[in-house]
Amino acid sequence: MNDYLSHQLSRLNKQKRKEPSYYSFIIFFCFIALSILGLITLYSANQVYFASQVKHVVLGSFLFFAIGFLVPLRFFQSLAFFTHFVLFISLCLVLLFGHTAGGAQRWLHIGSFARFQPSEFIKVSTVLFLANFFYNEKLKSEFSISEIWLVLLNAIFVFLVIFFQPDFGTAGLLLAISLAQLAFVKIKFTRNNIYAFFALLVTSPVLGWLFFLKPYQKLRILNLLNPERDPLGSGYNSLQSLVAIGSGGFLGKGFMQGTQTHLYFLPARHTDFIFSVFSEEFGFLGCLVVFILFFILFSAGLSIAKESGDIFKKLTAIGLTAFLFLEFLINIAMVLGVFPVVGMALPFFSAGGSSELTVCVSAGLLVAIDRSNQRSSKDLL
Amino acid sequence: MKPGSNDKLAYANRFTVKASFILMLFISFLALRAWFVQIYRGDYYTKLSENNRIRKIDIPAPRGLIYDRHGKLILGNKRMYDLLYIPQYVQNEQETLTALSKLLHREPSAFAKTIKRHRGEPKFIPILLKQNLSIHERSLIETNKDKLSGIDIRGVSKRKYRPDLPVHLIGYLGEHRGDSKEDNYTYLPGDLSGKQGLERVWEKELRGQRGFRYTQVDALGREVNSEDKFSTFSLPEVKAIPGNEIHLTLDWDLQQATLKAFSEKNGAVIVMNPQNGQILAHLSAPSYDPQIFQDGLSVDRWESLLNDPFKPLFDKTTGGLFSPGSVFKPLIGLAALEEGIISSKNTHHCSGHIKLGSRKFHCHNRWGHGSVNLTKAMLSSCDVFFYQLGIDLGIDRVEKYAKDFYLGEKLDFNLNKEYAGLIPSAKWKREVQGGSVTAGDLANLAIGQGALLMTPLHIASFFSTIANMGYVWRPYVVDHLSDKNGNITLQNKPELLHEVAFVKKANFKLIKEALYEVVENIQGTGHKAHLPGIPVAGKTGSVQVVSLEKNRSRAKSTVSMKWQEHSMFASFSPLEEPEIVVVIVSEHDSEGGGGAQSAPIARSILEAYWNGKKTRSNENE
Repeated sequence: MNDYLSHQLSRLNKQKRKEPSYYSFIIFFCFIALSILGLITLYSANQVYFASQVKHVVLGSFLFFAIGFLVPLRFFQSLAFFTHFVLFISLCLVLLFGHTAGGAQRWLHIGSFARFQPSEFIKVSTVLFLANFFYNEKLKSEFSISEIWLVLLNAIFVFLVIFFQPDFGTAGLLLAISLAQLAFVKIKFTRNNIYAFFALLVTSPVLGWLFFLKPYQKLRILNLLNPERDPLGSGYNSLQSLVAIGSGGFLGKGFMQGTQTHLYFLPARHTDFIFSVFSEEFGFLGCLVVFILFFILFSAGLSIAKESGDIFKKLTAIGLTAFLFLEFLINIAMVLGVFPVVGMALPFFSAGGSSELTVCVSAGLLVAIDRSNQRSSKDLL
Repeated sequence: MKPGSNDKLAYANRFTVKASFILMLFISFLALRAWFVQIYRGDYYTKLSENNRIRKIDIPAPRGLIYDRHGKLILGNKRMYDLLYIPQYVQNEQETLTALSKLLHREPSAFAKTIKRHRGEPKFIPILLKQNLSIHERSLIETNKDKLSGIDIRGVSKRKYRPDLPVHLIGYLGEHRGDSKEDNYTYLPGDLSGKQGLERVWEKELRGQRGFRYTQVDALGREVNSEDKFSTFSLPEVKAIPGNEIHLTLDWDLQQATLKAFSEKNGAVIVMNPQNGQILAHLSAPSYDPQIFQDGLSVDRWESLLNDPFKPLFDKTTGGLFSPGSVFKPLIGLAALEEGIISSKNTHHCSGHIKLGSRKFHCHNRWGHGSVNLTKAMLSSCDVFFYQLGIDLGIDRVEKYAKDFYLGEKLDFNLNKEYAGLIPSAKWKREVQGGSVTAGDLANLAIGQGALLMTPLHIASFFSTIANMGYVWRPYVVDHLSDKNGNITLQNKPELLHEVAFVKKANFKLIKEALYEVVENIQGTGHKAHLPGIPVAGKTGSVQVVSLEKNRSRAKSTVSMKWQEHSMFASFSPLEEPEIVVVIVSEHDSEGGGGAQSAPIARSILEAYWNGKKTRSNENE
């Protein structure tokens, strides 16, 4: 590994560094803007979490710059399989020995000083793992299901190990990210594959409902389907969130002026419902600014994917963009009351070390891919 | 060609352009939804947030009820109303307090003082201003609600105490101290929890689970009709779950009879079933009013309770240590029979005293009882006879039999502080008092005096073991627990702690007959407990508090109360297959000896028991 690293670094030094393209600058700009907005909102929402989040953002920014502008992309590619394996094992450990918070086991302690959520970091490693798999399958124009069994098995196992924490939101998100990546690969379906797929599609929700979903999760789904039935307060969260957002109006109530937030009506206001705080204080206009910033970020991610010369870079860019987009989409839809209340953080906004670092690493990798693209286009010339 | 860079073949830029459109579509949808919530419905939500608030209202759970063995309610609840002050909703503190003081005829400064004490707490936590509002006060406040912003009335379920409650058994409630979180249950400021007796031991069962509801209130804290405001959301409500019910082995009618018979005495009474250890009546006197704890106790009141010489807070049935006095004599008798020191026929001569070394040990009858056998000695409670037995037995053998009757061990009653008592042994004497056991020590021990200490519960257990000829049952008072639907969640069963190993049934029989004579014989010291037609066996006892000479030298009426002897009586009935044991410990009540004061009390309790049994069997027929 060290040989490889020193070889890559020396190659990097010899090579005249091509300036990153303007996609990198777009991502850099969105990263800075969204991080600042996120911190401002968190300051208003909960000052206790703000202090520790500042540390996470500083560390995350450092990671973003290091990954994006210093370390070669191939280094991460070579680590993909190993990292993913380690994270998967630690997820299994979490199931067995993890720290319980809020009825679910999500944390793993390292020594006595730190704890982290492997289920956050595995989002990135899954993306890299899948992309690396196809990178190694050279010169194939089309894949049959039997040829990609490893990828499918991986997706199912990662889903299950997180599902039983239980964290249905993250498990579903990971499955969706993998599917998003696979959508960009040509896969040949036989008729039997399609039958099997539909059989799975029909039976798994039924089995899940009967055996695996926790009562509170069932309740949330039922509440979304019919808000009238609302015995236990997840509807209360949605309502308070809507009152906060709705009372923000066009311009918002102003920084630190949100009454819903400051009278503690708003639940989980530093994590899942932080966007309600933002919308209450900065209004519809603020929402539009955030939506546009995110859209620019995602578009840049897709453009980088489009420009990528090889399949690893392409699928990685797709996967990372899908990850950021899906978290954004589900979180905002949830606080706006059009999606069930699932535990889903909003990138750049929600407090939490593991999720913040994961987001920074993802953004950094996008920049690294872009930088690599510029170099390879130069190589080709 | 570099590996993987074959996208022209397999991985055409599928969807990358379309994907952008899909993203755009989703984000536009979110923006549209945000517009709908913030602009189109903005006024509606603004109104909700600014003029209206959702308030979470806790619904305290009623504590579990307590019933006697026949399903009679002993301890219930009643609804009371508290006056609360919620700083978050107060618009003008001065105005509110002035209005309030006018309505309740109290100085505004009194309220201001209470509020000041809670400064620094979060503003949404209610402050308790006044407890137990009258109906008149409640209606005054409700009608003037518009002048009283931030004032609220909360209905709470409180204990309804009857005056004849066995307070030490039931216990009292006080403001919860210590951890506010406990096994998924959170105590809020001002919440009560059990401090003594059943209320303390079964706190987790009795407290239930608090419920809550959300209500819409306006800026003045007035509840508004939420029907039209929330067309799509019904506000959640979780009902409070009442605490579990406790069903006791206590017999309420018998308890009443006990209270009546023991009125104006200090001490303890235990009535139990010798066949299984069920407590039928439980009394420690004097008692106190548990209501004052529930309403918040003033320091003066607390100190006067603590300093009361009769120790009203203290449960004497398990925490009171007494020398058992002559009540202990049956054990000496049994040991002597078993060891062959005497038979039922052997006699000793009682001349009124016995000389041990240089000291004279007197019998309670100064003139002596003459020639006495075991039965005669028991019924006249002849001290000299038992002095001699004690000396003949020696300390080790007395200890062996006391241990065999489970004396000096905790009985695991699991209610209030329980003492194991003290059975002196040679080792104890050496380590604590120094020196070896003297004949004087043995003489004292034989009549239940000296270092020997027992709780009233121990005496009851001891007499139960005599009555059932050899079984030590764990005393218990909780028969079963049930939830609000009547499902039994816990069922207690009789539990055998120990079986007497060294005493033959024949000797138990002899002692039981001797104890029967104590009550049956017209000369017996316990004859005042005699019930016509129903066999009663028992033993009296009077326990010296200070040395005999001090009292003997004075006339009875001049002896200060705290120097007077304790009067004891332990009894069971009937002789064969006994079903009730009654133990009376009446402190400083020696007028005429144990028989004179305690035996009639036991008699009324026994009478009430048999009458109650007769009435119930008649009803059943």
